[in-house]
Amino acid sequence: MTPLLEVIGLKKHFPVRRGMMQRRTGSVRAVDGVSFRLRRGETLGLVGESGCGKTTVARSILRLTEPTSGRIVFDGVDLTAASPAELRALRPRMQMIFQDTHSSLNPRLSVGRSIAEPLLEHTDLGRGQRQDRVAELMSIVGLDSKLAGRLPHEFSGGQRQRVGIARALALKPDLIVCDEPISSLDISIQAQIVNLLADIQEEFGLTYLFISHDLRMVKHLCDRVAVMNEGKIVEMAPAEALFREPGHSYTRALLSSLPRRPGRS
Amino acid sequence: MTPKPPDEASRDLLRVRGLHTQFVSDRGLVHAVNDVSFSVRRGEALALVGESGCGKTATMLSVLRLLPPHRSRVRADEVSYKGRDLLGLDDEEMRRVRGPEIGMIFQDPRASLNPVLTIGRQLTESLEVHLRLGHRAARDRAIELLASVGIPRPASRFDDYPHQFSGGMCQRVMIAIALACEPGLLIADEPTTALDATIQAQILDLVSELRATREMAMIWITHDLSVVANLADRVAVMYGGSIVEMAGARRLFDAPAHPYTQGLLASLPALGGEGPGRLTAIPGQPPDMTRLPGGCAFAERCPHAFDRCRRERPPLMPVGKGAPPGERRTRPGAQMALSAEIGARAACWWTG
Ligand SMILES: Nc1ncnc2c1ncn2[C@@H]1O[C@H](COP(=O)(O)OP(=O)(O)OP(=O)(O)O)[C@@H](O)[C@H]1O
Ligand SMILES: Nc1ncnc2c1ncn2[C@@H]1O[C@H](COP(=O)(O)OP(=O)(O)OP(=O)(O)O)[C@@H](O)[C@H]1O
Ligand code: SF4
Ligand SMILES: [Mg+2]
Ligand SMILES: [Mg+2]
Repeated sequence: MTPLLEVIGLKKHFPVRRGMMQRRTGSVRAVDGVSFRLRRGETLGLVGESGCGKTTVARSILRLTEPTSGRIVFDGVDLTAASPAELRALRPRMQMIFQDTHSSLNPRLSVGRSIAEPLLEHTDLGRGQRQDRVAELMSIVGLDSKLAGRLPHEFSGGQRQRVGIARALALKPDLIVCDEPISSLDISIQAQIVNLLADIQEEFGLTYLFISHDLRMVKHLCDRVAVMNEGKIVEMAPAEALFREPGHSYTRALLSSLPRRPGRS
Repeated sequence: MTPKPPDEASRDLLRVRGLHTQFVSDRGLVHAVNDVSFSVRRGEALALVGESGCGKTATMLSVLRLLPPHRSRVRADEVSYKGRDLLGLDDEEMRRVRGPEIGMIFQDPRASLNPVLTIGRQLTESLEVHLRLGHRAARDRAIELLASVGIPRPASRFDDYPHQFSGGMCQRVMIAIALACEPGLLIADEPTTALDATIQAQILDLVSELRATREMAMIWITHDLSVVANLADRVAVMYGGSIVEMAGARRLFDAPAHPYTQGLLASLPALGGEGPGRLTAIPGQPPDMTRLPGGCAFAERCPHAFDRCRRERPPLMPVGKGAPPGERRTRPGAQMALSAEIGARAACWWTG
């Protein structure tokens, strides 16, 4: 079976400019030759030190940033060579949940409107159906649908993150790239969201690329894990095996610096 | 209430008593902080934990007087720092407290960094203004600070803008800026949420060192209980705008008293053992802060709720030394004696 997503030799280098003339003096090799495949229905964890290139991989897959080189093939279509029409048709099928809710939600739109936006753009649901779907999505992510008229600043950081998740779910996508989707949520809600992600995955056969620095959650949720360091994948293995016998020294360092678990450990 | 003996009171760096914060919204008043009291001593680390939306950030911003005045109402019996009444200061005086006296790390680092100033400039600015360092010295110190929070090749990233940094890197820049002025108290709002374990450990080491060498006190707002376990002396657990449990960190983890705290600890996934399965989540949703119930705010989700919980709001009461809850309710006298030395308190009719 063809994989849902295939990333081949992905590179993204950012120019470094210095001085008055902003001359290019070098580059940051944010992503430096990354390849992996995602099977349909699979959850791949992407972990690694802050600044190692995880978000840049995610943004490249969704074409939010132009890769320097490499190919991204989604369901058999090479996105780096696709026409605007092909891209537009594929867009609803891939969604992203962002790390940073401040820049991902429009501060002037009510959260209900933000969640409805993808529905407006990509479906022909009538007004009433749209409202029902928004209410349904809000309750799925644990938000009171009576709050749909509120602006993002009236929500706490964690509540805003749930709005982002509801929005990503709106079009029932095939692939969701989750960039630290739960790190701003407290653990009781993290557990709810992780359970929710698992439930909807089972129900709709969703595929996840799950970026997180929380190794416990990664182990809990992911089938396989890719470990990144300085723009490259240094290790990729089934989650169980990786945590049992980390092969790469960087993976071992990540695991050994885990804070002690409070209480019952 | 008996007043604290003077020697004990003077060890408090920050004292907050009877803090209430409300937000004005179209749908009525949001009761974000309801009668919150706590204090922090020199060199002490207090963790403030609790569910998203429970009022942690609102508490911190109220103390720092950073809420928009026309959209919020803050009142308190006392908010003092080193004995100075912060609520009575004018804006200019308050600006001199924030930064050099009380350092702050905000929850959304990218939003609180200035997008049009380089990372280096944002650091040297506060070093020049508050520590009166010269240009050269400020630059050297800034690079040192960036290295100490784990930014690789800091000199070469000095002239970068915030959008050129990753989420976790911005968070670390915020930490570096807050520590630059060597504050007596650091208030950090979810400062390490975007950081992986290796860098988180490095940051925790760094602040622990500052506590040891300069007696810096901290209020660490977080939902990450493993950080709390490694860092905090005391923990305040918030729910629905109120502190529902306050205890030493060790005690809180060994014997959580409040049903909400018990639920929080139970929702931690394990790294060893079990493997995938369902996590234990606390069922239900946090309360609507515009319509808090008259009784216990947790009653709707609490496995132990009984009649009284819905009628009467439980105050923070001393709890016993790990006696089973059934016994606790029948032996209030014995408990008061024990808790006097332990100081653990919970707002719950069941444990109280
Ligand atoms: N627009 C940009 N211009 C220049 N450099 C950039 C840009 N975006 C990212 N970088 C750099 O690329 C590298 C990787 O960043 P990225 O955001 O992918 O990291 P990350 O692994 O997601 O980190 P975190 O866990 O902190 O979010 C970093 O060194 C970052 O500074
Ligand atoms: N400016 C505002 N206007 C109206 N309501 C607000 C405003 N800021 C916060 N709130 C509300 O006040 C309550 C407390 O919010 P606060 O930001 O203090 O939560 P928090 O405990 O910090 O949560 P998180 O862990 O998600 O950051 C929430 O119900 C929130 O929706
Ligand atoms: S007071 Fe009642 S409802 Fe509230 S936490 Fe205690 S037992 Fe539960
Ligand atoms: Mg990132
Ligand atoms: Mg907050």
